Amino acid sequence: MPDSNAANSMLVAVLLVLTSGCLAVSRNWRVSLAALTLQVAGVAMLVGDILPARVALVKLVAGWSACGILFLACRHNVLRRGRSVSAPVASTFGYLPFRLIAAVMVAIVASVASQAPSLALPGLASGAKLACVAMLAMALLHLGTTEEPVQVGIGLLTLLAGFEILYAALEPSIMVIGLLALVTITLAWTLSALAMRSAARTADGVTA
Amino acid sequence: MSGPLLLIGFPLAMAPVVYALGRRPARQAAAALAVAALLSLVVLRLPMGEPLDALGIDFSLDRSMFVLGRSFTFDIPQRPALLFVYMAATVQFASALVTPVHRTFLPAGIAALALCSAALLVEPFLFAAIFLQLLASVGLAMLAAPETRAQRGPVRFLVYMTLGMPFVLLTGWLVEGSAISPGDPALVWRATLLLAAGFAILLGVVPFHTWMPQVAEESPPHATALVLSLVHGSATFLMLRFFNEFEWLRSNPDVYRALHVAGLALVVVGGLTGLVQRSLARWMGYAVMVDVGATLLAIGLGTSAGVSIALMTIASRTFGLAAWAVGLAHVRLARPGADGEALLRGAMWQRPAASVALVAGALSMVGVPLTVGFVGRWALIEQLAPISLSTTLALLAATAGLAVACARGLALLLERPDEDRERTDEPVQVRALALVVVAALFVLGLFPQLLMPAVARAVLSLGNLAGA
Repeated sequence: MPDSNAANSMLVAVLLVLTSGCLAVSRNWRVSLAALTLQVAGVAMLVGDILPARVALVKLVAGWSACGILFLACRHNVLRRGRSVSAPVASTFGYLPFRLIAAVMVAIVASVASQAPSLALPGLASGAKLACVAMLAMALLHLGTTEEPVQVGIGLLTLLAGFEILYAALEPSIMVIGLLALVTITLAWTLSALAMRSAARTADGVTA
Repeated sequence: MSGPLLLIGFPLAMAPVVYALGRRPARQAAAALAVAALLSLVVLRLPMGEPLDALGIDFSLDRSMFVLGRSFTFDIPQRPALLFVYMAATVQFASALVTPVHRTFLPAGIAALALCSAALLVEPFLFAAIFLQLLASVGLAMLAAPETRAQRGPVRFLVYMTLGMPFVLLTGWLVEGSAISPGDPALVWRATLLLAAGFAILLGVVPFHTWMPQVAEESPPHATALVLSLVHGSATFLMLRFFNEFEWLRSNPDVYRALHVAGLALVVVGGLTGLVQRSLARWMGYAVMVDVGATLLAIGLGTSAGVSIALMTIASRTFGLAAWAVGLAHVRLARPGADGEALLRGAMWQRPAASVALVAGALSMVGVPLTVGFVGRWALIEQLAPISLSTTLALLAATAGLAVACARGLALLLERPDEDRERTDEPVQVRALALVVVAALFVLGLFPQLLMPAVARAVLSLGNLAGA
């Protein structure tokens, strides 16, 4: 049974590496939010291995609520602007091949780094460790290549999710878990509001 | 009734009420001001844990409140920090009485007070990092007002505040979970590194400083002043609590060296870049960097005098930022859409009181004699000079750099206006507010003993640092 658990955890970890990589590379909000929704489910599964299922459920609800808030903001902006909220950025970071190559490199480095003996943490399986390191690294890549509020929100949620896997093993306090869930929702809410204001201003500017 | 519940729950409950008053700005500002003033009074006057009698009703405010197995405890060390937070908000909310602010600024400001209270009262205090992140999210609502043209600064601010949180929480785990001891150098080293990284990000140490000038330039001045006061104030108090609590941190000379280097980097970068600024808004971001650098240099002295200087610097920064915010907000109101030199040119003739407040706030941030900013800066130079002449010279050079840019701004303010520009009458209430904030800067600069007892009490409340 422990072997099957480890295999499951590794499978979920691979899924999380893929979703976080997809989030770092994609600038299409539909693809990003679909990947984020999957990522939240994966994180809840990994946390469910460490903490009771109802605690994992809190993370799932908070994460999906954040996805919902971001979805509503993106949908509102699309309706308002009549085009995608993810306008291409005119910089090196805006090029898909650049982000793709960077994401592959980050995934390789993360998979090697997660095996390092110095990262041995009590209660954290190798799959969870891989997912955690990869998500943190991908989130940093994501945050370094975007300044658009919704994308920044997705990057921060990935960072927070990666940290939550690690922290669930270290600090199982219910209050902390609740507070981190609150942080997740507040982040999504404030950045969505910012994205909507930004879209409104752009639309007003265009109309004027 | 629980005291912490009053300090956290009351402002949280009042935030939606204040938001609902948004259609009547004067009432909204008065309600927010009343909440902040009431909280200040509670912390200042009401004894926690003792029986009280009000209007014939006997009651007492408990010191602790338990939530999901963790506690929020009001104790003597928290009193000065809480008072500082509430007073900073009181000043900003009072200025909102005569300054048009965005509808979300005041309710978000009140919610920020609740989060600051929670950050200062939570036990174990390491969890304060989570409340600081929540404070940053609420701060974003204040900074990114609808009239804000760009949003890079506020977004970057949120990113850095979120990045800093995990480092502090992980340090907490290392400290609490592993029962850290000086006999385990590897753990001490790891915890110190994590803590240094966390506070470097939270306090905006170089190279994590880029959000400060951007926020100062892009966001409404009153929001910038409040957020910078609350975030830097709370983060510095949290850092001082780490020093007070953990002997392994307090007794490590490398930590003080790191603080010295971090402070010096902020002073040099802030001073050099501040020198070439043409906009007094962006300039303030660099002035705050130098001030935060001075605070770190003061704590890096490793003495109780250093802690006093750091707290004095934080308090005087609040006054300087408040005056600058009042001045800049009203100069901007007179010239909507103008920026940089165009905003300042001849403004003294159009908005004299606001311009004086703007310059006075800037001079206090520079640390010019007679202003409140001078007190902490001069004390720091006195303490620092015998230890490191080169750092003292760098601090003086940074001060001179900021002063040159400030003088350039003053020259622009004093330029004769264009013929076609009409002279606007400045509302009398704006003049009164400007007079009050400018008078506060100079009175506290001339009589620093008015502030010193509060600073001394704050240092004494950090028992282990008081005797250093």
